[in-house]
Amino acid sequence: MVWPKQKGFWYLWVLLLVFLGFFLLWIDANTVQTQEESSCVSCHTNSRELIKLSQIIRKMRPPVKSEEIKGEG
Amino acid sequence: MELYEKILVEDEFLETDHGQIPCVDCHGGNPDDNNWETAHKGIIKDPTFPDASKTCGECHEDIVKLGKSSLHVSLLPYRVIMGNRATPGASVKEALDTAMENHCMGCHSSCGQCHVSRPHSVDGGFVQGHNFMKTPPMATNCTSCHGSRLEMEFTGKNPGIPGDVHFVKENMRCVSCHKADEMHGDGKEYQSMHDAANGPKCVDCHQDAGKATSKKEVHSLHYETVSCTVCHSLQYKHCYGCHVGKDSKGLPYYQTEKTCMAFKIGLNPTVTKERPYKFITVRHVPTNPGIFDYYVKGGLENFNRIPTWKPTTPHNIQLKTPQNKSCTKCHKKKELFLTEEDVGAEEREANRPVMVPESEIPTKTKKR
Repeated sequence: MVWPKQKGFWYLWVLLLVFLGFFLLWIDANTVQTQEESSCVSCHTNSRELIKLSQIIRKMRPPVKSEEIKGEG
Repeated sequence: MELYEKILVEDEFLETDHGQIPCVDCHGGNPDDNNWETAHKGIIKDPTFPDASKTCGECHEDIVKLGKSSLHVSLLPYRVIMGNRATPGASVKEALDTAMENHCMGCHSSCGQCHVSRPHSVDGGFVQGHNFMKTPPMATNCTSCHGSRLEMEFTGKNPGIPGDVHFVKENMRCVSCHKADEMHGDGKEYQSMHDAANGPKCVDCHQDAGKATSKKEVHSLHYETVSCTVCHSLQYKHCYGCHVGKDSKGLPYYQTEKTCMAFKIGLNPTVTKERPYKFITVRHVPTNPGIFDYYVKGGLENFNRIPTWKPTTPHNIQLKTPQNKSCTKCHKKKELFLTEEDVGAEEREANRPVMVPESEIPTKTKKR
């Protein structure tokens, strides 16, 4: 009577380990994804993302060239 | 060009040698930061200016070492000219330095502004998605800065005046004559672009034209006294008066006065072994004694030390021109020469070395 309970206890441990394995894999995948998202390359090769950011930047930035410029430079 | 286009990196770049270098190595910033604003804190837009030794110089050491002397980087002639014209005194120098930083020194170039992006003076932006270009393209790079005068002349954009035969017929580009050695500098700090030893010379290709034994009599007669452009260029652009200041928002501005097309032959103010000519083509440049009045009144007390009509090489070369049709189309033709009548009274003293006295205008034609 005791043995089956012990056997069931070990099954639980195995299940827990399998679960932990999947959980760690999931975390790892997410971490990699986050790094890619935050890296310079993932943003600077993404025209959609850059267009969105450009619009925000345009609103934030003051004009850089004077309107009083006249004639050929 | 939209902002996003300027900073969009092509996937292809990532496959190149330069694309293997982590962005942060050259540009700084924090690639681990998810917030784009804080990630870009301290970002270096052009890591090749003013000092490219820690970036390009890691591999291209020799070029970078010499590059510091490149006139495209140093803009030394501007400083030399202003130094000559300036009123002596530390406070004036400080004010003029500020003025030049605000209005003149932005028109420099760098490794990156020729080989990666457009120059900053025209708001930058990648030319080919951050790909490094061995030869800078004429249309996006050279003529971004050299546009008002040289590009218009070279490509024939001045109404009624054809483009340079080297471009129109031979499809030559800036780099066909202006080689990398000249652009990168040779380590010597030239005070004028005309002094540069490795600048282009017509005789590099047209060897026969530059000697006493030339097959063409007109060349053998003139090769030492008249620069090539005197006979082979057309009318070119002259710019006048430039006023600079800051607007109500604190932004620097410039305002240039009229521009006009003309062809003018002047005296060569600096005869050298390489440029022995008596007569050269001269161009009025956009300057005047009050150019920096906004910063310091009377700061250019010695303005007249340097002519406002400068030696120039018009980039609209032709085999046949109105002045080389026959001897008499140039000899005795006073209107082709820069005389007192062409120079305002306030600029005459400055231009004495280049103005042609009537007695010096060629009259005789000698045939062998």
